[in-house]
Amino acid sequence: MKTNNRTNPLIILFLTLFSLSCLIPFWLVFMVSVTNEKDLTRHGYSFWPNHFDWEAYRYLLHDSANIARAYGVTITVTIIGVVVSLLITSAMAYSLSRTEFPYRNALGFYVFFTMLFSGGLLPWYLVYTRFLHVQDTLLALIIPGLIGGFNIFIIRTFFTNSIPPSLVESAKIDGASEYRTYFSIILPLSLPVMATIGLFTIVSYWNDWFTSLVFINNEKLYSLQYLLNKTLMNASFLQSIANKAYSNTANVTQPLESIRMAMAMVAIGPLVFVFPFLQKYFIKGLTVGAVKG
Amino acid sequence: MKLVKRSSVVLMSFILILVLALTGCSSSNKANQEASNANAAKETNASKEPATTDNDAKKLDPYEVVMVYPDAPQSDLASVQTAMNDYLKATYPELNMTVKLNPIDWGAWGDKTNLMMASNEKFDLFFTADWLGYNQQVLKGGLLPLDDLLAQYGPDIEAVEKDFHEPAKRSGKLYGIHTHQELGGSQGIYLDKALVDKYNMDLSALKSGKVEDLEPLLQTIKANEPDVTPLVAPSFPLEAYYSSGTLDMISSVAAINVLNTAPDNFEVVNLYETPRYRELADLTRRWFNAGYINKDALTPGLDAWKKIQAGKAFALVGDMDILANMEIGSVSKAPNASIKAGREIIQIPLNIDRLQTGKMTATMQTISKTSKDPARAMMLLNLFFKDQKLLTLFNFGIEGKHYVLKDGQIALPEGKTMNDVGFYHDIMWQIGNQMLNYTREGEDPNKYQNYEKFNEMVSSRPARNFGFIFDPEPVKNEIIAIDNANKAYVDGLKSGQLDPEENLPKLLAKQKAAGVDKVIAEAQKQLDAWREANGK
Amino acid sequence: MAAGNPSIAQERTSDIKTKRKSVLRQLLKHRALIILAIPGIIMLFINNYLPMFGIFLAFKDLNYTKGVWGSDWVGFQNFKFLFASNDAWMIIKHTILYNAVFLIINTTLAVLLAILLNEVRRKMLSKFFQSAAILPNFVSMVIVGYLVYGFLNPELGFINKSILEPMGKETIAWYAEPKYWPYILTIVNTWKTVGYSAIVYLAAIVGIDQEYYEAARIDGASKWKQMTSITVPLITPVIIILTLLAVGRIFNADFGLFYQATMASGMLKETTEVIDTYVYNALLVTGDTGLASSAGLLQSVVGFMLVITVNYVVKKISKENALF
Repeated sequence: MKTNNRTNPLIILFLTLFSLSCLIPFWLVFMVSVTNEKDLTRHGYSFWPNHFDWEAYRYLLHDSANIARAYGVTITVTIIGVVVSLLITSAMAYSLSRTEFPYRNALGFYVFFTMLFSGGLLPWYLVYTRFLHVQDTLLALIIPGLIGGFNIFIIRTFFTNSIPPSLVESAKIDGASEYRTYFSIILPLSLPVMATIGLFTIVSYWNDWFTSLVFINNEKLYSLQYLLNKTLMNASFLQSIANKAYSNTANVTQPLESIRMAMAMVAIGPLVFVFPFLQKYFIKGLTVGAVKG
Repeated sequence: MKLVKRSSVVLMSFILILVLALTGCSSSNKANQEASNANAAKETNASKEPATTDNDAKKLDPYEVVMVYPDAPQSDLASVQTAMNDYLKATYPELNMTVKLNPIDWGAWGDKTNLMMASNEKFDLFFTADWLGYNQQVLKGGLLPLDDLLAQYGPDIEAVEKDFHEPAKRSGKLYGIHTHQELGGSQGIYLDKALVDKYNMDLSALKSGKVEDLEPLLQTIKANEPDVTPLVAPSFPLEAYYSSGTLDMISSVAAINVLNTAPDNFEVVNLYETPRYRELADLTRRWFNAGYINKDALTPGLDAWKKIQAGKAFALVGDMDILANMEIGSVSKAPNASIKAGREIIQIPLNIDRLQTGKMTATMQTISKTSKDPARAMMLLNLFFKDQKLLTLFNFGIEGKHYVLKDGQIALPEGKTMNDVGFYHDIMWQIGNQMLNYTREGEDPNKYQNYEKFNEMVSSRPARNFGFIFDPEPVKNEIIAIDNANKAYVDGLKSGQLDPEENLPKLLAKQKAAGVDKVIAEAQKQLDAWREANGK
Repeated sequence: MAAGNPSIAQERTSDIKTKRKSVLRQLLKHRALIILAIPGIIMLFINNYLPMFGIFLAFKDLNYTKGVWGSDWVGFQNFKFLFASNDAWMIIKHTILYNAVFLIINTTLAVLLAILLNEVRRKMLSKFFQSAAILPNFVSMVIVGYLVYGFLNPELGFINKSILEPMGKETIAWYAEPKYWPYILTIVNTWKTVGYSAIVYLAAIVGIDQEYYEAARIDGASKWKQMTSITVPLITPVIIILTLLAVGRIFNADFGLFYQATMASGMLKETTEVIDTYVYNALLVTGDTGLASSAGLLQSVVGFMLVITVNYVVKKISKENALF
């Protein structure tokens, strides 16, 4: 039977339409960021502005020293965070996936409980400032994001269902310890899920602004998202209390819409280049079968 | 059949016990320590105070006063702080204090300050307001009572503010010091002068102080200028114009109707039920249907001034610039508004505030419970009420570097803009005697004289319930429910998008179901008790 | 043998001894697995369990000087505001219904999308589609709110200005009409999350042994049959996990979606108010953080009970896929 190397064109069509629906809003964001502010007031958002105006980016750039530093902070935090997170998470997921581990269910419950119950902002803040004393350090940006129940369960599910038990069995018979099994067999075969969770963790660290807000006073340690969002948050806060506030406070100039959109672009931008790297792990064909036998 | 394995339960209990043990020990220890530190500090201060007043030569220990206030980040903050400290050392060496400026972003203010207070972080002077959680901060024990400190260390504060402390008192004690500034505002209409001239508009009808009389003008614009919004919003008649002109406010839903009622009428009513509310709601609806008001008025973050700037608007209901000789119906150039709009704007006041309780708690300085030397903090605050140089440093920065004086007004140094000068903010209204400040270039140089005059006007007409503070705690849940009920209707009614004929009764019904009667009754009860106690 | 007691006692003690020994032996036997899990256990302890004492705050009237431990107990007082409003049940209903609809639609579409993505042969194209799919998830809800506004602005929005007006139809005051928003919010939520879920399913699909498909093809099975008999069953574990996790959060709404995307317009409350927005407003009105604590606890407890139930059911069907 002839193997079909051409994808069904209907599928391509559907996926193209879908991709467009995802991308068009970004196009709009970009277009608004380069639209002249007066045009925005007069004509609203358009997909191709009447007058191009790079004012928003110029405005952001004049703060370039801070932005560059914030990029540095965010990149450092993200890289360290993702690597450590993947290690810790997958190690725990591995233990959870071994059916002969008697504490499997207890541990699963231990993890899951944290996904539903939370003590709240204040105790969490106290733990990090009073107990660990990591305020105003990079650790405060890294540690909170290192582990999450969602990631643990996804990886565990993958281990349980996509790694053939026969492989693990044969490793055991060959006398391999759990560590060896984990590092030399399981990890290499889990590239798709590790890449997926790695990607999600990257995005989570990249987009995080809350830890900077709460723990960091030293501007040199602000994350990129916090820096960019500060102006937005200032404006929206003043908006929410506008009716009650002393009238002068509302005089703080609202950032131009184009600037808000430019901030969004600067924030997302780099991530777009990260995807192609991780994508090779999703390609069809990377299967267990190649390793078998 | 176990839903949850026993080992899980054992594990969880073990963990919970461990957690309780760990946190119980550390935080209660910490809390005890903090409390005892604070007490110790207060005691040593108490023992110090008589010493300093008796013996001037006895020195105070050096102390750093931490000031927490909302502000956008200033890149040159450190140099201004140093300059302030140098100045303090040179001019008030006996106070032996330094200042640490700790501004916090507006967007982070709520979360950050809550956490700071709840985790007993040390700081001294703290800006707050009733719209920034002042009531809760007092209730939860985050602020210090200031009565004694004020009496001892705040002579310059008392010189200007002593009549206005009542509204900031809670349970008989004073917790916040109001900034000395304008005591109220004025609401009215801003008009684009070019359009007024173009159609030779007669503005005399507005002497009535009634916004209804704007209608013929709006009609003219609607008929002849298709691209211009006659009345641009946000800022609607049913907001400050209505409340200031018609009510003495008590809470978000309870008020005294002062329009056409006797001066000794202290009946508390639902402010959505007054005849004037209905009138203005109908009026706004009519105008909305006629196309006088822009349809996107309720968009959060919408800046009506941008529309004026772009030449797309004619009139705006808003807070007036405070000028000399303000009168209802008087037409004058509006300097600040014209700068904001980039074109000539004139203003016509339609209402002038009475002295309201709420205004006095709109901008206050307080001292945190965690302050280790509250006396010193009060001394610093007092300086802001008498020392122009200190105020100038805090508000404008270092002369030559961040500003230059042109004809006695503040201007940017040559070639600099607000964005790159390193230190630029408009927070004079946060601290001290605002009137001692310089004015900015472009502002009326007599701005603060105007304020003083205006204050005389306002303070001569106090609200009937001036000094009365409503305690919402007994009806807290009802207030939340009422606020929730309001959300679906209030915005729509005030912007003209909902028809009052149909929706106002619905709103009132929903409020009744949420317990508005209970709130009104409680407010009346507290008000009557206050009247008795104060002989009103 | 009437003198059973002593020997039974002896048996019991020796039972206990062997039990203790066997627990220790168990721990030793699986020490590698335990050690692998320890870093995770510690991190979760620090980040999630240590702060849990805060759950008590839901029952306390927090006083800053007295601290968390010294503050007064107030029982269920902080919870009352949740039911003070007549709309309490409507709000709860909204929260659950929206989440249920989101769950069903997103899961179905995401699985479908993942299968389609898997079918694409050309690498470059596949990469492109996948990147596009995930992108919406990375945009903050604030920006999404602006984008929706760009379309629905009553004066200048795309739909009113460029579609309805030219067609001669009446413009719609989008932010004043509650009836459209269940659809709008569902579309926005799907747009934002379906790509993310699809990628997770895709990773699972990619891990399926190709030999199954080979065998099926040789047997003459159609694409559709392959999908329903191989692909879907084999990724069911992932579907179950994601669904279980979502069920646990069925009482928690995505605050950003219901607050930012609607531009917090009060007139839409009838169809868009959820627990989280109600609590947020209560917080704005009173400034009392105890309210937020109590609401959070309630949401956690309800979600927890639901998950226990569903997890139990899952255990009966396929044991190793249950959460615990």
